[in-house]
Amino acid sequence: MLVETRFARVSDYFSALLKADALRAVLDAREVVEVSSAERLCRVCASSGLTLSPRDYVSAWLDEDPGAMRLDMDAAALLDALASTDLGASLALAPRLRAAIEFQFASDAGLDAVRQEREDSPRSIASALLKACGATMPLDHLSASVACFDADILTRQYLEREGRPMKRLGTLLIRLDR
Amino acid sequence: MSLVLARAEMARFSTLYVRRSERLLPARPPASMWRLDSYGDETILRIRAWRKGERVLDVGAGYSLLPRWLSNRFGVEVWVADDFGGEWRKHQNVERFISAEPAKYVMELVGKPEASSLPERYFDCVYSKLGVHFSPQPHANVWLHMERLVSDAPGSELNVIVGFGSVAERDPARAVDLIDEVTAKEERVIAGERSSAFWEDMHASGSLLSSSPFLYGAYVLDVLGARGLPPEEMRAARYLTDPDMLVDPWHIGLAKACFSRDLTEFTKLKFGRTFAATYCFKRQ
Repeated sequence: MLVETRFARVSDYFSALLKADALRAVLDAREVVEVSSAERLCRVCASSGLTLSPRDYVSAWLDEDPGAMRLDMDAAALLDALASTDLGASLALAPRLRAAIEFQFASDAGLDAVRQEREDSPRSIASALLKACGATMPLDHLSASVACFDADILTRQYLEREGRPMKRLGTLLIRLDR
Repeated sequence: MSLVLARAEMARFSTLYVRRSERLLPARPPASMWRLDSYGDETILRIRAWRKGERVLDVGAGYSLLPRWLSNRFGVEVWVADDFGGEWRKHQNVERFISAEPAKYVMELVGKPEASSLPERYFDCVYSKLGVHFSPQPHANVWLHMERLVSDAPGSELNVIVGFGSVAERDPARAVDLIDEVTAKEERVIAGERSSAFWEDMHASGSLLSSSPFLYGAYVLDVLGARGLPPEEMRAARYLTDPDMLVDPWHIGLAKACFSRDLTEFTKLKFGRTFAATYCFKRQ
């Protein structure tokens, strides 16, 4: 059984989504432009709509395996759904699974919240989901600390009221292949 | 005339949102709208009531258009101190840029008053927008030189926006422990441990620019002989957990990846975040 659990990362985003012709054009145009390559790349990213949106990457990742059982929801919805017998039975039987679970960074509630392993932390979510699938694996790499303070984690800011981000959201990716 | 810390703030998304809504500066492309450079321009513009004929110095402006905007909008006499060293000359023709600008450019780094041609006690306002943190640490020489350039007249100002890293990004798995270590140092500062030996130990144990804007601010206050403490929002446990903090993502290896023409290089990029704090000093 193959089990993969990881955060959606900026570096994954680059490698997955910047394979477009636009990127090749940036690389090939290096001799004729005066601005730096980094500046050119940023311009291409902006003009092509690739603005480091987690949804771009997560959607592409989910679509990679159309035949797999698919979960695309936030942590609270998953925890509610896991309480249902139907989802538990489906997960136990699914030959392949792709789950993209959006979670809120514990650090939004302060440093003490990062110290705790809350029910909605990435590690707890992954543990609960894998348990329902009948799978296990070490999950230390999904600790709240890593999620909150690793700059490579793809992050979405949630504006609860206009002009002021109140939450930071990341995405946990789980792939299972029996 | 001594300097006092009149105001200090972290760069926040919500602050930039409010300042941009006043539309005092030209619109920016969406990709650069919510960057620290945008925050810096909007903040410096509003940080004081600019008056025609005032003498103003921008430290480390580079190709910034802020000196031009200040000159055109308020009629102030703007100077710029920047040596345009390192990478800067690769991207643009410095002489051609300067020749079209209304500001007076002095091609030198601030921090060596004995070798400087900048007039001391001359400027009504000295400011630096995200330039000081590129100087070698510790920054005492830069701050002391900037202080010497500010006029002795009461109300003259020194306003500096400094970029900061994050101690937690050194090792995300140990982030909480690292922040606790910085918190302990901040507590020592609050308790009054601010001797020169204390700061020497602090510099020896790591960069203040990746520790906390609170510690850095307290250090600068001591360097300038000013009293007080930076605000609580600048402490590591606060700014590193606040979702409203405005951050610039940075990456190591992007230029190399572009020039290599090898798409796999893009998977090797290293990422980080830059925060910023603004310190406003005033002659009293």
